[in-house]
This record gives sequence, C-alpha cells and structure tokens, in this order.
Amino acid sequence: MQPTSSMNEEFLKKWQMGLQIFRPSIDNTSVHERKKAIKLSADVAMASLRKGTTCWSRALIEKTATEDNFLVRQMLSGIKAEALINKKLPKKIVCHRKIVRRSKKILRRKSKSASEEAAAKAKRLVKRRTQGLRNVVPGGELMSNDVLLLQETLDYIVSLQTQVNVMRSIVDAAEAEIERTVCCSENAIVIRGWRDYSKPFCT
Amino acid sequence: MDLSEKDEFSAEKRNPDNYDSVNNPSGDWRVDSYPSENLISAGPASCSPSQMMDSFGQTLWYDPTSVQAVGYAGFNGGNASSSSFRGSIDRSLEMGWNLPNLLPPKGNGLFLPNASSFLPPSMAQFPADSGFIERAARFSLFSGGNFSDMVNQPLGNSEAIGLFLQGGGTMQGQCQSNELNVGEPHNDVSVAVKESTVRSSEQAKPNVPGSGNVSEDTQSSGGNGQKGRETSSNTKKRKRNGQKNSEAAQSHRSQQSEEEPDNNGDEKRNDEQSPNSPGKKSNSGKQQGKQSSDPPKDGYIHVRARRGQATNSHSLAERVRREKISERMKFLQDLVPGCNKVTGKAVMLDEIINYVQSLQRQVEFLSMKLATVNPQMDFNLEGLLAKDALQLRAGSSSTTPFPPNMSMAYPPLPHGFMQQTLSSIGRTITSPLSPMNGGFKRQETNGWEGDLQNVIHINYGAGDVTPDPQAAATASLPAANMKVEP
Repeated sequence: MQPTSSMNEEFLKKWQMGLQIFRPSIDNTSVHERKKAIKLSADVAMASLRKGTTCWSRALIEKTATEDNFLVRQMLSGIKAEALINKKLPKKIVCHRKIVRRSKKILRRKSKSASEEAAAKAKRLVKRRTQGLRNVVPGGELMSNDVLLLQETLDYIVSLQTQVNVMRSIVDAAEAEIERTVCCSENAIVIRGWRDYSKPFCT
Repeated sequence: MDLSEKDEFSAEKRNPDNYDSVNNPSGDWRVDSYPSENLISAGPASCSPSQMMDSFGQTLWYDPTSVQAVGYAGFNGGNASSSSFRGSIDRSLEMGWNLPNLLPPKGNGLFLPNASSFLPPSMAQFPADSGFIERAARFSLFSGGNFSDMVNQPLGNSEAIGLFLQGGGTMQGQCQSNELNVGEPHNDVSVAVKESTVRSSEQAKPNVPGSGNVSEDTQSSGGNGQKGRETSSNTKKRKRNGQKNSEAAQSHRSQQSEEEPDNNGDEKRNDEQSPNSPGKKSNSGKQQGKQSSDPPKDGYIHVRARRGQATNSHSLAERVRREKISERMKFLQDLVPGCNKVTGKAVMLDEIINYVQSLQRQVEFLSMKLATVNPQMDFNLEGLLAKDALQLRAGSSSTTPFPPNMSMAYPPLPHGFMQQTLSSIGRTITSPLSPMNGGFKRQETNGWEGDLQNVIHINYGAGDVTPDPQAAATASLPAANMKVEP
C-alpha cells in the first residue's frame, strides 16, 4: 500500500493548521526553533491522520506533547486531544537483562548440536533486530507481540512516506521558486546593465 | 516455460521448490505466494546448498523412518536464517523428504539445483505410475483444485507424497488436482502427508486473494479423530465429525478451505491486537460438522491442528502466530523498496529498520531545509492543493537527487510537476522574497553552513559514525549547496 494523494492532502492540511500556530511568533525564532516547529507539527499531523487507532500514533502524539503540549492541544482540538494524550499506553516491557542472560546461558549449555545452535543463533538475530525495530518505531517498546509490532511498522512506514513526500514536494517547489526569482532578478540586473552600457551608443 | 515439464515432474519439483522458497534469495521467500513459474526456474543461489545437502543427504535420503526429526534438524541446520520461518516450511519439508526415499539418491550436487535439472534423473526412477504422476500434477494445483474427486480416494502414501509435494510449496500451478492415487505405500509418508495436506490447504489460503488471516483456518485431517482442540484465545476450533477416511477428510477439507476464502473472511477475526496466549484453551467456539459457511461471528479464529502435529495449545498458537508474522512480513516486503530478493526474517527486519530510520532522517532533513528556505514559514500551499500537484507526488518520487547518505533511491518526477508548482507557487512566494533576494540568499548560505553541521549530527545521532562535518557538508548535500551557493 502506497500513500495516496488523499492522504497527502489530508496531511498537508493538518500540517498547515499546525504551522499557523507558529506564525505569530515567527520573527524571534532561530532556524532551529523553526525546524523544530515544522517537524513537530508535521509529526502531529501525521499521527492525527490515524485518529488514534494505531499504537504508534498515540505514542508519537504523546512524545510531541512532552515537547510542546500547547501545539498538540491546538492541533488536535476537541475531545480527541484529551483522549489521546491522557490515554494510558500499555506498560513498557522491561526485561531484566541478568535473568534473561542467565537463562540463555542455561539453554545454550543444553543444546549442543550444530543445527540447534544455528537455529538458536538465527533466533537471536531475529530477536535483536526486532528489538532494534522497537527502538525505531514510536511506541514500539509498548507493543507486546511481534505481530502487532509488524503491523504498526507497516502503518508507520506508509505514514512516513506520506510525510516525506509532502515535505519534499513543498521544499522542491519553494526552492524552484527561489531559483526562479533569483534568475529573474539576475536577468533584470543584466538587462539594466546592458541598457546603461548601451546608452552612450544610442545617443 | 516449463509448464509441461511441470506437469510431469510436479512431484519432484515440490522438493526443490520448497527448498527454493526457503533458501532462494533471488526468489520470494514467502512460502505462500510463490508463483509456480518461479518454482521451476528459480535456482537457489547462495543458501549454503552444500551445507544443506549434507544434512539432507546424509539423513533424509536414507532414513525415512526418522524423517520428521531428522528433516527438521537438517532443515534447521541448513537454513539458519529462517528459523522462525520453520513453522510453515520445515514441516512440509519434512514430509517432502519422505519422498526422496522413492527416488534413489542423486548425490549432493543434484539435490538443490533448480528444478529442471533435478527432475529428469529423478523422473527415471519415479514410480512408473503414469496415473500417479498425472494425479500428482493435478493435485498440486490448489487453487483450482477440485478435491471432491479425491475425497473418496484412499489416500495411499504415494498420494500423500503428491499431497505433500503440493503442500510443501506455494502451489498455484496450472494443473488441476483431482485425484491422487499413488501406489507407493509408505507409512511415514502418509502420516506426514496428511499433515502436509492440511498445511498445504493452509498455505493455499494465503494464495487466495482477499483473505487476510487465511492461514488461521487450517483444517486438520480427521483421520486422527478430532484434533485441533486447543486454541489460543483468539482461535476457535471447528470440530470435525469423524470422517471415515482421514485422507478423504483432509482432501475434502482442503477443498473446502479452497472454496471458502470468502467465508473465511467472515470467520476470521482480525484481532491482531490481542496478545498471543498459547496457554489458553477455548473450546467455546467449537462448531460441529462441516465448517463450510456459517461460522458465528463470535470473534474467534478457528484453527485446527494438523494431523501428526502436537495439538498442544502452545504449538497451535505458535503456528498461528508464525503465520501472522510471515504475512505481515510479506506486506512489509512490498512496501520497503528493494526487498523483493531478500529472504529470511533477520535480513528483512534489518532492511525495514534501515528504511524507517532513513525516512525519519529525511523528515528531519526536510524540515530543516524548509526552515531555512522559508524563514517566514508562510508556505502558501493552496496552490499546491489546487494544482493537484500532490497527486503527482502520490507515487513517492523526487526531482532533487537525494544525499547519498540516504539509502533509498527516488525516481525523478516528471517535469510537468515542476512547471505546475512554479506557476502555482510563483504568485504567492515571489512577493515576500523578491525584495530581499540577495540578502536572503547570503543569509541563507550562512545559515546553511552552521545548520548543516547540526543536521548532520541529527542524522547521525542514531549512532552512526559521525562524519567530518565539512566533508559531509560538501559531499552529502550537493543539491542544497547548488541551490544555496551560486
């Protein structure tokens, strides 16, 4: 499933809405703050597209709420904001490393055959990667099973693609516009120069 | 292609095909959606064939009676990367390895190869039962299969083999499977095969379009009585009334499973969110008799244990979970570009992680870029919306060459897009920018230099090697530099 144009538009609208909140205070901000504002509003817009149905969106909104509660509340106006922010996310899964390591050692001692070790190694690899994925996907730590994690990842990837597409299109458009205006202004200067230069010849 | 060959050699094909489907990095590693053509032509490229061959050659070929255990071990030995993939593959492979008993061992080199080379020598030794071959071929086609013919056939071992052959893989073959009446008695095989039939029926389901959790509706053969009592909390079991012939039953059920993809949609309860609780047994959802069409929508997914498999609730739930995971991985493979050739969970997960990280970094980078490009942050986007430029965007592409530190490659947009955006944006952005172009650019340039370093730190904050900011600034953002510094 690829991001659809309707998704793009929705995201754009919500993002615009978020950016509007920053407009009044724009003159005092540095580049970093602007960038942060852009990114946060984009994230909230992306998460709100899902309307709280997915775990990652809730986690993402909560994460941005810790950085800029005001923005989040403004963007997600209405009951939804309250529900999303206050919604209790499932507890983080905490693994006591010592215990896990000990039990793994015991297991390793038992299984000596090469094939079993290979299988165990593969399992370990997969587990490590799954943990890595949990770190990357917002709210991944809270997902109890792998199936859910993969599903959330799927949805998250699609939303990220939407976000990236829209942002890139805007950047391209803005840059192209700047280049265009620069060229125009440069051309104007050149023409003016020529005119001045050619004046003595005319008269 | 090799379809004619396939018809004849479908039986033998299944073995290498299964093997391929698991170990072939160039093919789709998903078992359930392996196209039939690939089965024929794909050859395992780099999956330690010798290693696998050794394990198989030594164990499976000559020791049919202990196939299950051995095959499992051998399989695992050979395929480290898909350990959790075992659920669907290895059992079928176990069964499949029963088949080789019929065929004289070819030697290691022949075992793994692409199906076409594998087939001819084996064909010679294959039981000279043309009927078997034909039936095996026909049986191997799940989706179109008409199992009703098979229902009343006593399922001999050869039949079982044929079933297995089909079951092992992702059969969407062209042959119609009507009956399978192979005349090679082989006790182990029959047991294994029954399982495989169910397995194949289960695997066939994912082939059916539109059925999401197809695999959860596997039906076990009734030969061993009512298996499959145990379920996870999300599964309900359909009780099968004793059907006289286990094979018939299983074939019938396979047919049923084939025929009711739509019904499965009803029954299936996509309760992905609920955790897997293998310990629970829920017999509440049992249905008597045929499970053809009327599963009550009580939110349970029926799973039936396969014959010969443990009916432990743990293993059943485990199997369901594994199939769900493999299904999700399939979707992810479609989504992440460049992952079609990746086999195995670990590598796939790695790719997914990289992709997500790269997308996140892109967002950071683009937001930084936007912050600098447009200090007023007055992105006037009505023009974009109006000009449906976003529709052009829907396919995820970009005109600007992306920095090389990003792992994805994006195809360039058609030029038309740029003109449109120019025309739409031009009216709006020009005015605020034009009076201060020179100053703006200089300021922007300075801003870029300072901020590039920050961007780079952000980008590499995840723990990658921090490159030299200068080098990165010049090398990694060529597009920006080109625009910003004339």
